[in-house]
Amino acid sequence: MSTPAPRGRPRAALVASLIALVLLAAGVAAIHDFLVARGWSSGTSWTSSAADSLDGLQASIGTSVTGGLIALVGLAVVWAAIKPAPRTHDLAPADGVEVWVSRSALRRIASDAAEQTPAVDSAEASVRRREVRVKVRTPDPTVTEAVTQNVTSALDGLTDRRVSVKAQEVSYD
Amino acid sequence: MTRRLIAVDRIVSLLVGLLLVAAGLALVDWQAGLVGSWQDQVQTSGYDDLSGTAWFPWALGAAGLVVGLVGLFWLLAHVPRPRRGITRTVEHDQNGRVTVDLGSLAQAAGHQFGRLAPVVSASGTTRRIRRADVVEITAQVDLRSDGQTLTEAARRCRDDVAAALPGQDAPECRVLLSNPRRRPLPQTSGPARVH
Repeated sequence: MSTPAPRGRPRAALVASLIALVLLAAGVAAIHDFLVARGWSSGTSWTSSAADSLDGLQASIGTSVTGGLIALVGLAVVWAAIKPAPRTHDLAPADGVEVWVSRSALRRIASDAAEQTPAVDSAEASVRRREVRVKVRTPDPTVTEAVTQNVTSALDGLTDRRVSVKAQEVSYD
Repeated sequence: MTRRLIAVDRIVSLLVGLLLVAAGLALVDWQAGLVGSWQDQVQTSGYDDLSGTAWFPWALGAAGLVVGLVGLFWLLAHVPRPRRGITRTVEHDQNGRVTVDLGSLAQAAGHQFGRLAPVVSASGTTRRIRRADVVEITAQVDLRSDGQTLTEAARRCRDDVAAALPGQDAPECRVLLSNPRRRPLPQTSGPARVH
């Protein structure tokens, strides 16, 4: 039995850090107003100034637009709260050993293996759910079979994804 | 990040998100008047009366202190901290006991993996996952990396870790392969490519 999949930080952690910053700022504002009210600090009360600026405010298009934006931000926060942490690695199908591979590592190995094939000028790989796609630039379009073989061999034991290769012919005339 | 902290983050974020949605919709409805009945304009005279009382600044200061400290500690809880070392007693009798630091074992396994496999860098650490000790090797794949060599090196490291603790439940050993953030410079000593 393998260990659980490695995961990155959940979005909720970022949102929570922002909420914590807001709490910290609110605490600082409240302590500032306490010091001002006691005469231990000069200046005006921030909360009283905020309340004064809101006094007499009436419903308008502006308040509705602001409300809509706040609701949208709220939806984004709800989504971040419930969204699972992203999986950073996939379990490799290697026998008897637990190896986890990130998609970018698969991409790297696939493109490097393709580039090392003779007659390949450059290669670019992308990793899909069931497939590793490799695009190669080559003066010899018949090279796709050799590239497929190279990439499949390089990825052996790391992924079960199918390898598909597309060649783009380049000419040096 | 601990599981408890993640749970707190999720619950508080969810509540704040729902609160923002409710506040936003209430603000929209203030003009539309579809659901609730609202005052025509905001009146903050109540707050002015409240802030004029003798006790209010003290309550505000105390609340500010509590809220500020909660925010500060919550923020600090998200700062990554070095993991505590995991040790295991491998032998003990009336004369004493022998304890193995699994962290050192993991570092050695990471170093070994870097030697065996074509990777840019490799390191090892220990983690407790679902109450089990896990030796975790993290490595960045290299230009010459291939599945066979990488999995074979992982097997060797797993066997070495098990051999280091004879007669014990060997810790799980897992290898995480990633891509280096920066692509290393191309090798100049390799064979020239001929088309």
